[in-house]
Amino acid sequence: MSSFYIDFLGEVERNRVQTFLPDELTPQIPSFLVWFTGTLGQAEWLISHSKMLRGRSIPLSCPKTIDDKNAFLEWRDLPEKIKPLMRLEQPDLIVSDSSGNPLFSIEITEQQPIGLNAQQRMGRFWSAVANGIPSAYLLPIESYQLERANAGVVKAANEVDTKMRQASLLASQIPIVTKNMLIEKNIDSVEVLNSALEKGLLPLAQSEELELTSYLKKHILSTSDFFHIKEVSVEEFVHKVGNNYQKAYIRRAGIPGSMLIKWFEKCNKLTSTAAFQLPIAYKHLFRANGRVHTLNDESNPHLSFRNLPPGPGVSPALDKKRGKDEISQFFEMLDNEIGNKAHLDLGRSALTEPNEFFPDGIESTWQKRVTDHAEIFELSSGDFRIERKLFSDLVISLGIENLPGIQSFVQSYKEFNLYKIYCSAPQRALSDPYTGALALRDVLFTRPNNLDKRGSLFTFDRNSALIFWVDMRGEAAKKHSFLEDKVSGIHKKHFGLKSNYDTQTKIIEIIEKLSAEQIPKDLRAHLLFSDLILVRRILPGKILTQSYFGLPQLLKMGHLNEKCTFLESLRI
Amino acid sequence: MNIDYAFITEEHVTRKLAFTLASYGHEIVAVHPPDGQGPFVIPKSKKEKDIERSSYHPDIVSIDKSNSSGNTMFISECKLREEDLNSDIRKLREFASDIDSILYAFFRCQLFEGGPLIGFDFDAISKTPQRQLPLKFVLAAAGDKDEKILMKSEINGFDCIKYIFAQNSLFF
Repeated sequence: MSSFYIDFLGEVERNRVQTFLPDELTPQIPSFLVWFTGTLGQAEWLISHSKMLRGRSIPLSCPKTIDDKNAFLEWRDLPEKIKPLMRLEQPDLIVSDSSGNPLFSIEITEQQPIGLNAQQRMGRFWSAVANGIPSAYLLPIESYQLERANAGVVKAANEVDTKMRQASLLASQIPIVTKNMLIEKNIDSVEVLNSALEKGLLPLAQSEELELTSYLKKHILSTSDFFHIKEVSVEEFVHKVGNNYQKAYIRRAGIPGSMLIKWFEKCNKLTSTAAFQLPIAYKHLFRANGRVHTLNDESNPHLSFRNLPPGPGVSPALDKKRGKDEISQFFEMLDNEIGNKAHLDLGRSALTEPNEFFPDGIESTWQKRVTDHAEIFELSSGDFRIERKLFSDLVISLGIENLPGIQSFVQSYKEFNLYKIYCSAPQRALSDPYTGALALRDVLFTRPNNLDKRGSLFTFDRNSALIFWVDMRGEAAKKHSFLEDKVSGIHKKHFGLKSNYDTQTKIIEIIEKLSAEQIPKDLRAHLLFSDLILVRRILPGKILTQSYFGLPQLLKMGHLNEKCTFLESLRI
Repeated sequence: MNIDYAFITEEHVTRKLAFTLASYGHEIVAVHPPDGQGPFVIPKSKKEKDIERSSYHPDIVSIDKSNSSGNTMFISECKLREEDLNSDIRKLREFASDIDSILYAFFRCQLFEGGPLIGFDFDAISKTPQRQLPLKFVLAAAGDKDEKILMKSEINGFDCIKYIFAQNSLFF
């Protein structure tokens, strides 16, 4: 077999397609194509374990940018229907039919959602959901972490008295309990702690008792209905490694993880989309922070030693009652969607079950509701939600009350979401993680809770506004190109010098006439998702404030319509 | 020159090396595929003027369990072309001169209750003089013919083995 026949391309020489798949898994006329921007291994892992794709698909590398010449095809030659899924950001994997019609979009990351690292990929899912393409995110939600131990933990590790040491370390590991409480009750192991708790011997408030009981059920006794990772043995908690102390601990799914999971739950009402927990095992605590990988796969030797997730059926089920592991459920979803079958219940509610992976009511911590806008100025970064009256006052405090259109903007929403960041490095591009962070906030904060299948993310039918606020400090205040210089540079490149245009007019022309990939990443999502972009340059003795409307508000104001090139380029 | 680089990638070399080491009795601990993520991250010691500490991400970490006198940790780096291995040699020498980084690699490969069956007694390793640590390095690249060259004490006193894989042996 010296060539493949790919519907949208015709005959393709076999050696142009790089693959480690054995001949029996590489069909001469593939029914499906697996486009990858991550690793070839991920594409082949997907093909090998999917009932729909195995033996019917080939992997094809996809350009990571419009200038990438190393992929199987250059950007201009990609199937037109793939491009909209790649313009905002590029997912690791896209499954298409052989004509290039996208069927599924996938992201796989080994990083736990901490800070903005996982949120930064959400633009990829936004594009999929907006276009009705099913998608899935595989990531560790609850995981182990190895890191330099803090002074308190080092002190605990160096206690000379064994009992004192055990109690100090246990108190550092387990929530609620304190060293003194453990010493007083003669508790030097988790078993004794559990027994003392059951007998009601610990001086705890009811809520503390509940939280401790829940923690022990999940991470020590493994009696929860859901699979949680095992607590690190107290002997392995802290190690002296050369001149440093390292600690190994459970990093529980926090606020960023809860936002991400909620995003999927909300968008799943529009289009099938879900997050899955990558398997974590205590055995791999030190080698791989608990991440489980395929090492030597005797059934699929082409997958061996490529740092791939395990195959289906080898890890414990997240929801013990359902009895299916996450990788199996992911492949069921994939095969089901590719096979055009009815949506499955994928048991994703396990991830949002109150007090399982996230504390009940964690949503209230996503944004700070402020009653005095001085609080927003005081905090250097964060998410804030404010009511119209307060926003109106804020507009005056910022000195932008005369910005054309600002008063109608103030009146058009009852509530305003402010996503505030700061930047002090003049060369730091404001691309990642903000593309994804804004895509996440678009859905989570501005859209109605019950997304209507008849609606679309493209219509920006928002309940509240989204404002991207950047405080530039230090050298960045003097030199950073965001946003005016950036806009001027792009505008000049594409439309020549139009000195009579102000920045807002240039923004409108850029959105009206340029495709998303023509707008650099450090501006693209900012224009797409922000109703208002606010840049404050905090200079010695003065603050310069610049503010511009982004696409959602420009649509609302009638300065743009839904057929503008930027938006059209994101649609399949 | 009997090699056509248009049809092979660094991943061919990495994969071939992993299979080769496994066939010699190594337990493969971690593999970092080109352009991918790898779980086996080793922090670098903070140097003066470093704004941000970076880290080492070896292409392959393995444990040779075939020697009756004890296990040896192997840190491997791969490149498509042999001439590009010079940057890896510099990187490995830097790593091998940093005792905290070396010990961190052993810390990750330690034996513990509930852990892997193959590994190192980390307490004993921590007390071992640096030059006597059971550590070796491997470099690998594609080339005209299959070769295995021992580079004695090449990496700061630690032995290094260089594998060159002929193009046809990269497809197996």
